[in-house]
Amino acid sequence: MEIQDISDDIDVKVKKYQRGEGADLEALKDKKLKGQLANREELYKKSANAAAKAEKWLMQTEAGRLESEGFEKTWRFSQQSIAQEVDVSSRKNQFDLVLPDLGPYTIDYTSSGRYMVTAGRKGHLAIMDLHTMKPVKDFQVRETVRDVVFLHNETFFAAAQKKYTYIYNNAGTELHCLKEHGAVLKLQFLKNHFLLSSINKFGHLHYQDITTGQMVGNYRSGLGRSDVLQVNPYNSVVASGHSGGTISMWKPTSAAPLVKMLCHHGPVTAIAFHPNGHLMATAGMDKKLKIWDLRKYEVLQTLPGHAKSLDFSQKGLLASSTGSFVQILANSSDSQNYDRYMIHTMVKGYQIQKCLFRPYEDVLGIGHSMGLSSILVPGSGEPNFDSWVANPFETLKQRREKEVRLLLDKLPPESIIMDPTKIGTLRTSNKIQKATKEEKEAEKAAAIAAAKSGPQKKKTKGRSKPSKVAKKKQEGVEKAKRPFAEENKHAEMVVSKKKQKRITEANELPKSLQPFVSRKAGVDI
Amino acid sequence: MRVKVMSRSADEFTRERSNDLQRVSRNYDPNLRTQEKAVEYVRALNASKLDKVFARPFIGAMDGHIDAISCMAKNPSHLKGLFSGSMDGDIRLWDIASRKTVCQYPGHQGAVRGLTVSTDGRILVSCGSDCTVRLWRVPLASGIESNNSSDSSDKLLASYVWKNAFWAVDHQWEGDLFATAGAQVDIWDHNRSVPVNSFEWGNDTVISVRFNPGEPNILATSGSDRSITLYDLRTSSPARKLIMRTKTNSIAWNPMEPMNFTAANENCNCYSFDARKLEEAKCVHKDHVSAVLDIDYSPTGREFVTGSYDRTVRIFQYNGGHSREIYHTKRMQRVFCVKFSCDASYVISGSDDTNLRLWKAKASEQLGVILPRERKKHEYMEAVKNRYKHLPEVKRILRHRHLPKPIYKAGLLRRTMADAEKRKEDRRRAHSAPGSLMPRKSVRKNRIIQEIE
Repeated sequence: MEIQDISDDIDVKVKKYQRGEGADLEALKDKKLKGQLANREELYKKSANAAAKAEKWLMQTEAGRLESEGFEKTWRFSQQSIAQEVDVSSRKNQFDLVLPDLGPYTIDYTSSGRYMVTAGRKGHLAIMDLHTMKPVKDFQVRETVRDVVFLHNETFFAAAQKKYTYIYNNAGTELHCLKEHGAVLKLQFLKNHFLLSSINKFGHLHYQDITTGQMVGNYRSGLGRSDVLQVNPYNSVVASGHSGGTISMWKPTSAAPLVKMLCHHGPVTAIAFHPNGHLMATAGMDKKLKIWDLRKYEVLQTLPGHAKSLDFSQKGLLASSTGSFVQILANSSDSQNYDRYMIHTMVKGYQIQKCLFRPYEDVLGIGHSMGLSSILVPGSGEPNFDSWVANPFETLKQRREKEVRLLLDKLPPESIIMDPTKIGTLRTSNKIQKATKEEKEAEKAAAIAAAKSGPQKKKTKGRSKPSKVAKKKQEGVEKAKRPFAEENKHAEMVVSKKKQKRITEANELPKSLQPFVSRKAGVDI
Repeated sequence: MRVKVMSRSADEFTRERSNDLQRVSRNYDPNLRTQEKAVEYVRALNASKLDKVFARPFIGAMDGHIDAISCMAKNPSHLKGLFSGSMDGDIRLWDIASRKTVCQYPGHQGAVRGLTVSTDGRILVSCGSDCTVRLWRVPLASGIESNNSSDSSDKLLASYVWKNAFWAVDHQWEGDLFATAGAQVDIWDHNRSVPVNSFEWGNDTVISVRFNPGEPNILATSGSDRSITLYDLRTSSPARKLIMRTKTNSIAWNPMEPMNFTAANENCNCYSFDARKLEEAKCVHKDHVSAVLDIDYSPTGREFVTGSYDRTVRIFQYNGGHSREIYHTKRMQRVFCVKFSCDASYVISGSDDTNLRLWKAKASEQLGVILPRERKKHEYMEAVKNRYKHLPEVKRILRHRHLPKPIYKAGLLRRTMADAEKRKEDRRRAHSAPGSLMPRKSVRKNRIIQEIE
């Protein structure tokens, strides 16, 4: 029994590393290619197995979890009771920063989860190092700041201020003023492509490449003002939610959206994407929270309630916040259904602006009207990070190296497609349809006209007599007609064969049934 | 309630002392990395561009002969030494690393037509159009750096005169016998001044001869009657003969698959055969635009190099129909002989302009000592290029080679001629009654006229 459990476990892990199904080699006729591909498939299987086996040694840190004993529900446990049970270093992650003057706060984390940038609506910008809990830089811009987002690492961040968007250094120096974006409501950063995307008051979407400064795309959404913008990390497609309840998904190289889906009966208030790219959670003013399957564009689950802000964690937990209330939903043991896992209510007057999971930690950051908070959510973060993807314990040299590597691997904006696994696969050819009768007649007429009007060769020494020239022309026309005649003959032969077959079959029937044999074409006996 | 929150302590993930290595933790989960395929594609594109940037295959020329170089020989026991013989009878031993002559073996009156080294690497056998076979002593590897200077008379071990001019010579891979090609195939022993055995099939001259690396008693020869003949020394008569449409200039056996050999033919193609089944070629390697004069396999058995009358050297995969690489220089004229070095890293070509040229087998390879990290990086770049080499952008970059204009034009001409022939054949078949014409002949069989036991 144990051995079977272990082997099932390994199978699940191997499947994760296999990245989809293998190629179908039966359909190939080329033996050489078949042999080469069979070798490759063998190699892939071996490497998936090796990765699954190595997991035991590589995964040092254990994931968090919250289980209830008996009949109690997990969402009954408050943050205080959780804090009593965990160790000191984790308790450090639970804090409340009271900053009452400078407006509702919005937050963003770097991809390693170590640094956090916050912006208060009234112009307060701050970067914090969450390992030492010290502010790196803290300054006032004395202007409305609507959104803030880190660029590729903690040394750059962009703030959407009253009229323009500004890019700042981690020392607080203003590096760039991006005037073309206009009065931006939401900013998002596409990590693999180094693109800063924004949506502004008029519903215009902008994509700017921050390595060269070039504006890659500038599109009018056509659906009015929208203050919901979210990037899907799986395929770098940007989704914007509109007041008619539609969500449109954009890519930088086309003026028309990739997908437009009608999600809610009222305006869309929040969107969130699951890291595996298949699930999307949307919330609207119609008091519904819907979870969609992005492959079929169907609703998987509808939950009641408002949500001003939605976020998926690395492990697939969904946080939704409204008013001063945050609830965290989890899908229990692959049942595909999200139900309540934890809740947290704040002091009544606090209006939560944004809730965001911290990468690689079991922490949910909340930005609200009276400052920042951070609560513990066991089991939300990925426990084992990969140093070459995101390293919370990065040194200066490592950060610099990483920046260079990221730039070398920067993807061109054309590579954004709905299904990123399609790169490198065969392009499916469109089926050639048989020409209809009219088309065939047209082709024939065209061929005859071409033959008639073709260049006539003029021969010298009396060889181009008019009778001979006419004869040659006639021959050309016959030649042009020949392939069509052949086709017709072939088709007629097929039809006559079928007819003959039918007649012989009819003759085989007993005499009493023969009058009932249908003589119409296309009816089988 | 049972609750556990993930916690990491900083000392598990940071190094203790500044002379320790930094700690790296890995998680191979594909969910952590988004858009892997696009990133790999970008890396493949960059790798292929860098490949072209670093592609500098020509290393240097070895200058010294005063007439065209007709033949070369590798020393099986010494990597750095290479023998070359020219049309005026001058034989030289070169040190490839310094590209200088180590010693000379003067003595032949006419052109030196064939050179070969014995199994233990101590004796050099040369034959020429002055009807002589000469045996020379090869200096020891340790003494090879010391200058040649005097005692050239010491080096000649023996000189045997025979009835007719010789065209080629080859030594057994294991044993004491060597074979010369002339009016017939003669088998010699080192110590006998007359051939031990002699084979003849037909009245035509034998142009080249090669012993099989795996089976020391089997040899293949090519004759001026457009034939390839296989002989077995243990039987006293020749084994098989294959007549083709055009003459074969040279033959090379695959050292890793000794039953296969490749023949360099006068009609610009190379044909690979399985010696057990000569009725059909295994593979036709087409890319040269003029007669292929010499061919040599790499010791890995996966590639071979050919030199042709059209002034280029091409490297082919052992099972590939088209060349992987082409080397050409303005100064290099007709290439008469090519050799793949015994460590599979270099290609040496000897040509009409009296120079031997040293090239890299892989044009963008980094020579010298490579750090393990560099090596891993190179391996990764190779692998990612191979995965995406079918995509049009990457393929375009990898395939691009500069061709000299006459070769490019000649290639186009050959292609239009081949297309025209094919079209004509197709039309002939379309307009004739089905079954009245012979069935189509495959390219692999096309060039073979008949096989004789």
